[in-house]
Amino acid sequence: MILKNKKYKSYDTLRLALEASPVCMILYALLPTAQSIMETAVTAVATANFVDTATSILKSVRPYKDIYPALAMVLFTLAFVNMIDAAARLAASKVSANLRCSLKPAMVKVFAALDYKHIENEKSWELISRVSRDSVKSVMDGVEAWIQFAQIIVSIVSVLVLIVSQVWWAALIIFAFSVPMFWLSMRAGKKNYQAERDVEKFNRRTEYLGEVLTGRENVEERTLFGYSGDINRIWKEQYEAGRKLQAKVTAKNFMISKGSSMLLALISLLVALTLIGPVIKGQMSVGMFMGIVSAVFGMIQGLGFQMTRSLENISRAGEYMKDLGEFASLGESEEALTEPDSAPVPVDSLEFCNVRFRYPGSSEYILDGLSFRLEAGRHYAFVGRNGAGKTTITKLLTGLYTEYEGEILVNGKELRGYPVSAVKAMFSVVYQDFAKYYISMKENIALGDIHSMGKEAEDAAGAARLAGLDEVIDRLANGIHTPLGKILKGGQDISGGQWQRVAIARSLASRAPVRILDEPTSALDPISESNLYRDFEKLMEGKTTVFISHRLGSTKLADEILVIDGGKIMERGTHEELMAENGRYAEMFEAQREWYL
Amino acid sequence: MKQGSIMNGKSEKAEYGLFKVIVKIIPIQVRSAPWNCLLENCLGVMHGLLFALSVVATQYLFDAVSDAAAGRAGYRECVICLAVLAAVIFGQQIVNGVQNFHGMGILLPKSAGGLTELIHKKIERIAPVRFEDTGFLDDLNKAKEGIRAITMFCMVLFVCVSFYGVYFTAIGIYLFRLKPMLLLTLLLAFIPAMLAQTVKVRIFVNLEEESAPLRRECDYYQKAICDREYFKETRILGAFTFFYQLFEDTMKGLSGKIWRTERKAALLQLMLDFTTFAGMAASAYMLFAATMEGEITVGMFAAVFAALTQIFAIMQEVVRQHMGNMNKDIGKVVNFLRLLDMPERTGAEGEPDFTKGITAENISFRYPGRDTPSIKNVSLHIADGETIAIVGENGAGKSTLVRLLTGIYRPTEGRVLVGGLDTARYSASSVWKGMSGVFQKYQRYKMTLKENVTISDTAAEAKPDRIRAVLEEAGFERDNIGLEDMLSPEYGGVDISGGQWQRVAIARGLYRVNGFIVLDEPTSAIDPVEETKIYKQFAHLAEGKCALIVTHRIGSVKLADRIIVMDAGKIVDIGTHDELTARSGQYAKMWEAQAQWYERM
Repeated sequence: MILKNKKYKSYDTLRLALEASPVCMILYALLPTAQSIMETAVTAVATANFVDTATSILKSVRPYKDIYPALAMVLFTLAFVNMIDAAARLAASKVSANLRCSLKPAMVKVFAALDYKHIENEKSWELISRVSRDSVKSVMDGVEAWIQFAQIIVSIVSVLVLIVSQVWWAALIIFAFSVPMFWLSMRAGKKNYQAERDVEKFNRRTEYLGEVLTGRENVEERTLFGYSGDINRIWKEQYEAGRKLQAKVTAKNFMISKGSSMLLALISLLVALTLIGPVIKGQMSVGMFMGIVSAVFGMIQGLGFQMTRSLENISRAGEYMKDLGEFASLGESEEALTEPDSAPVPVDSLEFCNVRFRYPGSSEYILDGLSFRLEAGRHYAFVGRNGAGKTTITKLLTGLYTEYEGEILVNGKELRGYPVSAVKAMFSVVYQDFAKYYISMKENIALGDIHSMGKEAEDAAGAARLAGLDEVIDRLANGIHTPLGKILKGGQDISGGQWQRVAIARSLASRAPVRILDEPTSALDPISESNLYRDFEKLMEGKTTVFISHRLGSTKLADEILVIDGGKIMERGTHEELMAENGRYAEMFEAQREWYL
Repeated sequence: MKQGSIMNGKSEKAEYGLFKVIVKIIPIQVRSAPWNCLLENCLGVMHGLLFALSVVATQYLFDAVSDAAAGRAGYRECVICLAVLAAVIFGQQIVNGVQNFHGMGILLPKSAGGLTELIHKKIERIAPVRFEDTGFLDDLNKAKEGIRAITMFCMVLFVCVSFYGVYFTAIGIYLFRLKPMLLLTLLLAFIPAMLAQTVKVRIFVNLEEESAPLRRECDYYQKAICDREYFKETRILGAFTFFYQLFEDTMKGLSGKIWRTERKAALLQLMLDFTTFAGMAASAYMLFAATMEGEITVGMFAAVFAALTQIFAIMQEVVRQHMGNMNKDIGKVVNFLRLLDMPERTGAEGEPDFTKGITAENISFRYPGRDTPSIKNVSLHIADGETIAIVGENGAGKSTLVRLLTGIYRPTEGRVLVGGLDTARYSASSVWKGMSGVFQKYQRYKMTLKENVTISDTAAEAKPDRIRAVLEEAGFERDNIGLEDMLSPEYGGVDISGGQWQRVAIARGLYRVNGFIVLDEPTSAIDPVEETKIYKQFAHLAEGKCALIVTHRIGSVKLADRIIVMDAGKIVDIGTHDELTARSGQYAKMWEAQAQWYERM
C-alpha cells in the first residue's frame, strides 16, 4: 500500500480497506446490509404471510397444511438474521488483518523517511504520534461506522418500499414528515467544540495533579513536604468543576441521540396511525399491519443510538484521515533510508564557513556565524555551556538538518553536494542520548557497520574488547549473542554505564573516518570515566575525533580545544594557550579544577 | 512476565472471590455517590417495567386492529390502543435516555472522583519505599484502571437486578399467563448466550497469551525505527532495512496468529448462533402451536413473535456484553481493592529536637522484592550543625542511605533517630517536621512560581515577602516573572531554563523551616561555572544546621565537615578530606582518578 500525498476524507477509510482486501471488504459491506433488509422488510412480509394464513385457517377458509410454507419462511428469515453476523464479523477480521499487514508497514516507511525536523518539532511530532497510534483500529472504526450508517439507511428504505407497495399514499405522508425531522436532527448533531475544549483543559489539569499525588518521580518531595492533603483538595475542586462542565456536554449529546430515537418513535406511531384506516377498509391485511408495525417499532430501540454513534464515528474517522493525509504530506528526505556507503570517502578536512542555523519554528539562531576548520587525524574537544549549540553541530554534520546558511565543506566540497549515503559513511556518532537496541549484543555493535551485520561475530567482539565489554560478555548467558533488554526471549538487562560502552563499541566498529563523541561519559562513575579517558588515546589512534563534553578534564586528550558560546567559536587553541588567554575556557576550567586543588 | 501475571491472577481469585468482591465494592460504590446509586436503580426498575409493558401494549393494538378488520371493533378502539402504546414507548424512551445519561454522565464521573480521592488518600499513607518496587507501580496503575471498572461493575450489577430483573420477571409473568410452556423461551434464550460467552473468552485469553510476546517484539522493532529515542541513530547507521525486515516478519507471524484465532472464533460463533436460532425456532414453534390451537390470539402471536427477537437480543446483551465486561473488569476491580488493603505506615506523634542530631544504629535495608540488602550494618551520628557529604560510585547506596536517615524509608534492621525520634515508631509528619531538602530529581511543578515555592510547606501562610526573600537567596533571576505566573507553557505560562528551575528547587527547600536539610546534587549536565555556583549555594544552605550532601562529582565534597565514603551498601571510610586522601583508600583512588585530568603543566 502506498500512502498518497493528498487530502484524505472520512470515506477514504473504505477505499483503504478495499485496497487492502477487496473481496472480504465487499463481503463485509454486503452481508450486514442484507441482514438489515432481512431484519426489517423481509421479516415483516414473513410475519404478515404467517398471520394472514393462520387467520384464514382459523376461520377455516384455507386448509391447515398451508401454514407450513408460511412457518418455514418465518424460520428461514430468523435463521438468516441470526447467522449472518458471524460471517460478517469474519470478513471484517480478514479486512482488518490485511489492513494491518499493508497499512502499518506503509506508515512505518513514511515515518522512517520523514525530514528530521519533524521529529524534533513538537507540533508535527504530536501529529505523527496521533496518526501512528491505533492506525488500523481507527481506519476499521471508520469502515464500521460507514457500514452501520448504510445499514440504517437500508433498513429505513426497505420498510418504506414495503409500505409504498401496500398503500402508496401512506408512505408519502410518512416521507413528507420524516425528511425535515431527520434534517433537523442532523443539524442538532453539530458539536459544541468550545465546551469540549474547556473540559479537556480541566482534564489535563486534574490528570497532572493526579500524577503529582501518585507519581514516582516526586515521591521524595511529596513525602517530605507532606503536601498531599492540600493538593488533593485542589485536585477535587478542579475535578468537580470539569465534571460539571462535562455533564452539560454529555447531557446535550444524550439529548441529541435520544432526540433521534424519539423522532423514530414518532414516525413509527405515525406509520401505525396511518395504516389503521387501510386495514379496517380492507386495503391492507391485518398480518401486513402487524409485520410493518413490528418492524418499525423494532427499529426504534437501536436506531436512534446507532444513528448518532455512526455519524459521530464517521466524523471521527474523518479527523483521523485528515491527520493521515497531513502525515503523508510531511516532507520526506530523499535517500533517508539508504545504507552508508561501504567504502567511505576519506575526510582530509572539515570546515564550517560562517554557518548560521536556527531550528524550524525558532526565531533564535543557535549557530550564529560559526566558522572553524578541522584537519584529518587530530583530536578536537568542543566545550561550552549547555545549549551553546555543541550537539546541533553533530546534527548538521550528519545531514539531519540541511537548511543552514553558510557552508560546511568536506575536502573543500559542500556537504549537501555529497550523496546521503556518503555522508552517513563519513561520521560515526556516540550520541548523548544513544540508542539502546534490544537486540543481541553482537548486533548492537555490528550496527556500527551495517555491512558487517550478516558476518561472523569477530569484528564485533574485537570492538567489544576495546570498549572494555569483555567482562560483561563473560557474564551474559549466551555470550555476545545474548539479547539485551527484556523484549526478546532470554534477554538480559545491563547497567547504564555498560550500555554506554556498547554505544562506544558500536562507534568503534564503524569504518567512518570521523568520530564524534557527545558527552560519552555522562553515565559512568568517576573511575570508569577516568579509564575511558585513558583508553581513548589507544582507541582513537589515527582517527579524526571530536569530543564534546562539559567535563573539562577530558580536554587533556585533545590536540586542540574549541570553546563555543553564543553560536560561534569564542576561543580556540591548546589547553596552555587558552589558559594563558584567561578567557571563558580558563574560567570554566578553574571552576572545575578548584575542587581538586 | 506474562506468565507471572497470569499466575498472580489465579491466586488473586482465590483471595478475592467474586462474591467477596461484590460484597466489598457495593458499599464503596454506594458511599461514593449514595443518592445517585438509588436513583439509578429506580430508573432501572421503571425502564424495565415500561419495556415489558410495551410488549403487552403492542399485543392489545394488534388484537384491536384484527378485531376491527373483522368488524368486531371500530377505528376508535384502535386509536386508543395506539395512544396507550405511544405513551408507553415515549415513556420508555425518556426513562431510557435519563437513565443512560444519569449512569454515564453523572454517576460514573461522580463516583470516579470519589474513588480517585480514595486512592490519593491511600497513597499518602503508603510507605514511600513501595515506589521503588516496579511491581507496586504496576499495581498502582492497574488500581487506577479499577476506578472506572468498579463503577461500571456496580452499574452492571444494578442494571441486572433493577432493569433486567424487572424486565425478565414481567415478561416471564406475561408469557406464563399466555401459556406456561412459553416460559421456556427465556431459558432457550439464556443457554446459548451463556455458552457463547464462556467459550469465546477462553479462546481470546489464549490468543492474548500467545501473541503478547510477538506483539511486544513487533512494537519494539517499529519503535527502533520510529521512536524519538532511536530515530536519528537508526537513520545515520542505515539500520532501517535491518529493523524493517524484523518488523515485517514478526508482523506477519502475529497477523497470521490473530487471523487463525478469529477464524476459529467465527466458526464457533456460527455454531452458537445456530443454537440461538434453534432456541428461537423452538419458541416460535410453541407460539405457532398455541395460535393454531386457539390458545392465544394472532395478535398475541405477532406481538410475542416480534418481542422474541428483542428478548434474545437483550439476553445476548446481558451475557455477552455485560457479563463479558464484568469478567474483564473484575481483575481491575481486584487491583483496586488490593491497593486499598495494602498496609499503611503509621506511628506516634512527636516533636523532633535537632540538637540531638541524627543517629543511625546498625541499620540494614533491603528493598522489597530484592534478595540482597542495599545497606548493610551502617552506624553513623550527625551532630547538631554538622555538614556531612556522602560519596561513592553509582549504585553504592548513597541515595538509599539518605532516604533512611531522613526517615523516608524505615530500616529493615537497626534504628534511625531523627532529632531523637525513632523513624520506625513515630509518624511521618512528626519526623519531617523540621526537615527540608533539595532533591536530585527536584520537581518542576506545572504551577505558579509561588506555588512552586510554597509547596514545600502548604500549611504555612504564604507571605509574598518571604517567598520573594527565599527566591532571592536562592539566586533566582526574577526578570519579569511574577509570583502568580504559571511556570509551564502548556498552561499558558512561561518557560524557564534548567538552571532557573534548580534555583526554584533551592528556594523551595529554603522556604520550609528546617533544622536538618538534605541536598542531593543534580545529575543532569550543567556547565562547570553553573555547577560551582550550585555547590556554593548548597554550602550556604547547610550553614548552622544538620545537613547531608550527596554528590556524584567527587570534587565538590571539600565543603563538608566530614565525608562518608560508601561502597556496596557499606560505609568504607569516614573522615575529613585531608584524612581520607592521606589514607589512600577508595576515596583517594576516586579523587586521584578525577584530579589527574585537571593537573596540567
